[in-house]
Amino acid sequence: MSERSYWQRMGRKRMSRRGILRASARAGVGAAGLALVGCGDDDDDGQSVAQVQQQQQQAQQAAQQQAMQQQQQQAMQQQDQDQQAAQQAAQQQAQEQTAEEQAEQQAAQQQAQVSEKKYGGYFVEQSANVYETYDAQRTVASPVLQVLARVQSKLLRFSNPDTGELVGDLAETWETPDSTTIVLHLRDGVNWHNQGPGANHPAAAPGRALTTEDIVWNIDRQRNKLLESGEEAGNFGRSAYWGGVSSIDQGDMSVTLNLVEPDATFIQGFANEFNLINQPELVGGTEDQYTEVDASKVIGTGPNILTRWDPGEGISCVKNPDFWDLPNRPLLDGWVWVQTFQDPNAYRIAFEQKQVDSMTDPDPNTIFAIHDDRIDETFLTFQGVANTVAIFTPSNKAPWNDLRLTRAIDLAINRRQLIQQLHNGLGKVSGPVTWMQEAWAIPQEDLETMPGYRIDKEADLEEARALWDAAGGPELGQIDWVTSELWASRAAWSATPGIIAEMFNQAFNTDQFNGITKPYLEIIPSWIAKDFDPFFSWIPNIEIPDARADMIGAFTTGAGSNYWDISDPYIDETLIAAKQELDYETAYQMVRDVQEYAMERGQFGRSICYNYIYPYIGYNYNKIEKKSEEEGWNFLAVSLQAFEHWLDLDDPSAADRQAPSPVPL
Amino acid sequence: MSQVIDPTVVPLRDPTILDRATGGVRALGRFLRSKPLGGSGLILVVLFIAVALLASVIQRHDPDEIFETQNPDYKANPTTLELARNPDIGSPVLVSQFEEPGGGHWFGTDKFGRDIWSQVIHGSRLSLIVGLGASVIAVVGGLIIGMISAYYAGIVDLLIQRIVDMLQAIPFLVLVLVFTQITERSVLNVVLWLGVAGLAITTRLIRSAVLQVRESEFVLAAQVVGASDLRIMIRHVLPNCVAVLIIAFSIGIGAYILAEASISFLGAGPQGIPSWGQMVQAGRGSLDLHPWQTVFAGGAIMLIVLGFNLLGDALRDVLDPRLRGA
Amino acid sequence: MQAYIIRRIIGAVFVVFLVGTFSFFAIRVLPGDFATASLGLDAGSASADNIAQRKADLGLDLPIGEQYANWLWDTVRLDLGTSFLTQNSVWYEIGRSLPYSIELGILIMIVGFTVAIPVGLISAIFQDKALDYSLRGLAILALAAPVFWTAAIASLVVLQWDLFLIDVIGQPHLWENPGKAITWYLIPMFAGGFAGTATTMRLLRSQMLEVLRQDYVRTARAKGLRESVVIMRHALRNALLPVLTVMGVTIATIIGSQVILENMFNIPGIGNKVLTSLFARDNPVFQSVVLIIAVFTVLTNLVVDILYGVIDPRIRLS
Repeated sequence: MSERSYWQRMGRKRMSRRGILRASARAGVGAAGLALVGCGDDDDDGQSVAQVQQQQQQAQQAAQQQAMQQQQQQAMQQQDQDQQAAQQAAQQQAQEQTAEEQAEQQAAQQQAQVSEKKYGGYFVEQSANVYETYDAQRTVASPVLQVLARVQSKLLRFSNPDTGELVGDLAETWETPDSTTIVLHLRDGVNWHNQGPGANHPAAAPGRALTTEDIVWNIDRQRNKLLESGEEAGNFGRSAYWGGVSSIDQGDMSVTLNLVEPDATFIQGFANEFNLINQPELVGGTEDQYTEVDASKVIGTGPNILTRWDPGEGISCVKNPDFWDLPNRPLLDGWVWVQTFQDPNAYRIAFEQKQVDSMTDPDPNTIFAIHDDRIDETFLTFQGVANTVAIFTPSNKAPWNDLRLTRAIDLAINRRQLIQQLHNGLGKVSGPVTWMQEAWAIPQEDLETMPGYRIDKEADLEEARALWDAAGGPELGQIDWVTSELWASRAAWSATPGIIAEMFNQAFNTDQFNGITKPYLEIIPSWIAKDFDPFFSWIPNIEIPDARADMIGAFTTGAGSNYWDISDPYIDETLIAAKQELDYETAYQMVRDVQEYAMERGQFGRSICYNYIYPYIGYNYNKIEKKSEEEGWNFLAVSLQAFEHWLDLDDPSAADRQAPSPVPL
Repeated sequence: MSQVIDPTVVPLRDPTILDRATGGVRALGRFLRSKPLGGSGLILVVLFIAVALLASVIQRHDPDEIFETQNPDYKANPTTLELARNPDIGSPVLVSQFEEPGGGHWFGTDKFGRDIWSQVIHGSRLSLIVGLGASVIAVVGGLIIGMISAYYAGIVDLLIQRIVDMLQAIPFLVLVLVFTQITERSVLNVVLWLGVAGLAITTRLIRSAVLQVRESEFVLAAQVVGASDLRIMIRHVLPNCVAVLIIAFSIGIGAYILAEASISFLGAGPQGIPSWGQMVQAGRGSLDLHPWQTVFAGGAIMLIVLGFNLLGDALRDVLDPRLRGA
Repeated sequence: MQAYIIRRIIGAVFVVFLVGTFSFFAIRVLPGDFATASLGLDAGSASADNIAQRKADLGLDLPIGEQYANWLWDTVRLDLGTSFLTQNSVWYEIGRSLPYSIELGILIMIVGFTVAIPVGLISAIFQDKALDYSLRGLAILALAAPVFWTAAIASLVVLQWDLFLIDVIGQPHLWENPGKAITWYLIPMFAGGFAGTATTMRLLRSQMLEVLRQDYVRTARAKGLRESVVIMRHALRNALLPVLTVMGVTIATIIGSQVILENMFNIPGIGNKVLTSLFARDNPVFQSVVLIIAVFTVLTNLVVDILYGVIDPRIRLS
């Protein structure tokens, strides 16, 4: 009989959370160099990749060196070098580790080398339920990407999603002859899928080779926000980004983009998971039905072919037999996404009975409970969530336009307590640039001594109280603090409004604060009108690792997400200069200066609190691509998984797996 | 001032007062003996009412208070490696999550570091307010609508009956879910909407009782004498419906409490007050690791509903004329 | 008799119309709409333009009167529209989910009646004896325990000891794979069945008590019939009739508990649809699903009433 009941386990201590926050190591310390190794063999009968790998490694290395040299001629390369320098520094830091830890790591690395990737199998996981469209360029929600990133391609993709290192995707190489010109050289021999529901759609052009016109069409429609019908569409989410292109020239398999102004962040945008390349014929021909999601409207050039997309029922894709990029990728035969479990009970049943291969939940308790039960056959991994948790005060209007109040609130936020209460300690505090964008954030060690983030919370609170009293905080009467209903609707977080109110009431020795919830219907228009209530919730996805784009969006005069009407010549000047700066150290210092400047002013009412960490549990047979033993990629790793994820169906844990199959081609 | 009891005016030894008092006690004793189930229900209900009234006295801790402990492993400015080994190391104080039941916290603590005992104690307030409040609204509303419907018959009656049919054709839980989402989810609003959702049953019960009474001879006699409708309603019909009113009142309480627990469980319940349904939901993800919150909150729901149902059943047995003398 | 039936049918149609109107307006009165909800998580990047465009795409920007007229006309032509959430036709959604709910509903009823009838019977025969009290106490306890609580504990027990497979993904029908389907339905059917038992059982008990006092039972006993024959043939048959009349209400209650149970066990039935469409503000699905439930309960009531009217002429007149 298993010893899995609570009562038999009474005496045991809470599970060790050792290594959970390995994510706190700056930069990708010792991140297993991403195997970009291709293999010539197409045989997929579970044959080991490693064998072929060895044969091909030398040739591949030579090719890589060549590519590196090419890259070194590029102007942007300076930045890469600096990032590498930063990594080296971090590596040195890591060397301070104890001998024991090093030995452990080495053992883990050896193990990783011994384990050989295998082909075959299909992976089953939970999907989202709401897909507002199949057109990645017209969505603001990331669930669409979970599906599309596996069947479509981008111009470039991240080889290290955390630091923003890039490799070619549809564009094999790229160069920047001057600071406002980017030339993309498209890969030869890339064809659109010629099988599957999308290929059978009357509007589609299956099997056709990729052309420069395809790329231009994709950029132009977003840049001009125009549909084929000539109608303007307001929902091209990345139109501001593509608006940075002033004109496009086409060459023989090359596309030259001329930028409006120098922008060192621009290239990373090519790998933004939302910037998938659509086929003009199919997507252009079905633009009037863009909300009607189904597999027949999706065609791509990617590693998989979509075979089913019935929201609420099931989604599946299978391996593209004619994939152009790496002959041995993807490793999996296919993917199955089952519908969202409305209730954690069903999700738990599905995982524990191996009907799905993985489980994630914002409430770590369930995951820990399951892992504790099945310690021998499951693994845990942790990854940062790109939705940043923040507290907003409307500093653009009275009474909050008194920066003393804004700062008092910022200081009073008990960030570490919130992380413990809402996420069981699984999270790390974030400054104006979140720790997820690790190359640009203020390091945790430095944050710990900065006001609002101090370990000695009492010091923060004393300062907060003094400011609050001085600015007449006690005379403000009742203050309703809004939490979004969507946030509070999650069981694990349902007590949040009370928690937030209690936090401020305790900080200021008052009972003025009152926690309420509001639906987004009320919240969004109030943001757009810049007339919003004090607020606690997520703020949107980080789309690229380079934080400069987000900082400009939030803090410069008149920018898109500047809901606080921040207009400060110093910030404007510094951030624009940072955007155009190619030297990483210089640019980092500029961004850091602006961060500290903002923090001294209570972050202007945009008080970033923290980013939490998602626990992910999987069975041992599930070989998800991750950074290290316990740490997953922080974000934007979808396309990485599309290539490198594999299953070890010989593992004992796969014995009683009950997985459904994908819809075949 | 005027209510001061003057022993000379009303002698304490007045036999009638004593009689009445002992009579009440005796009646209660009789009730307990003849209806042991109802009796135990009564005891449960009284117990929960006492707990709710005395919540602030017996709570031991504020239900919102967040308990923290000093972190024995705390280290200022820890290295990255130390943080990786123990994510809490950088915090001087730790939220006391998931403490086991014991002397400090009788029922342990929840994931927010709050005392479960005081949460459960205060949760009884919400359940009682919801159960009793919604039932009062449903009975008063049902009485007014039911009497109008029964007395005026014709098109008014027909329309009301069809609306009642409509409400009954929609599952109660769905009705409550829809209603409570219309307005801000304060306790008062939730009580109100639960009462409105319960109108269908009470209206129907009271209407048929009024119909029966209306056909009786003394009402006919009053009509012959020329008494006004209002007077007949209040003087003759109402007193004869008291039994039905009590039944209608007691029968729904358990259902309203369960409905509130269910919508709270689904995350759509009243806000800003400890709710048992919400506690069951919050705790069940790690039921096997930290069962206490779910077990105590779920047990409390079961006991209070049990109490009201037992009491309601017994009252119906006593008051329902069809079963009288059985 | 014919006039009675016609009167009842007109009444039923009117009730269904009222339910439809109610659900049409209810889902629109609620704060939030699908256009905003679907853009909700990434609210910051959702501009007023995006929301306006989504609303126009979904037809949510029309005046409410026009929407109502459209809905009424479409519904009369049995065109229920397309789900905002899945983009499938609502008929398809209902066709897919209804069988699951009917299966589970029937199973819950079977459990409920299998428990309720003997318990109600025994408890009436042994009125006010220890057996009566303990059985009634148990039934009332079952009614008092929230279904979500019992179901959560039960499923945890199954998981802890690997008792059987609960196929929440394959979602088998009883006629496709009875073995798998029944294990999937097992916990919800007992959780729902026990909770529903108490109502039926209490009603049956009080009906039995009343019937047992009737003259014909006394006559039957006086004739010297065996007690079991008296109870089964004379008393139970008459006591069951009123119990059957509450079928309509029972069905509504069962569907109510199915809302939670289907959600917990990933059963893609009607109850699940009610909840998801309500929270997602999927107007076409919500109003149609509520309508279907109403048609179901009203129809059951109608059939029972008409049958009852056939049996008992007094009712036709009232």
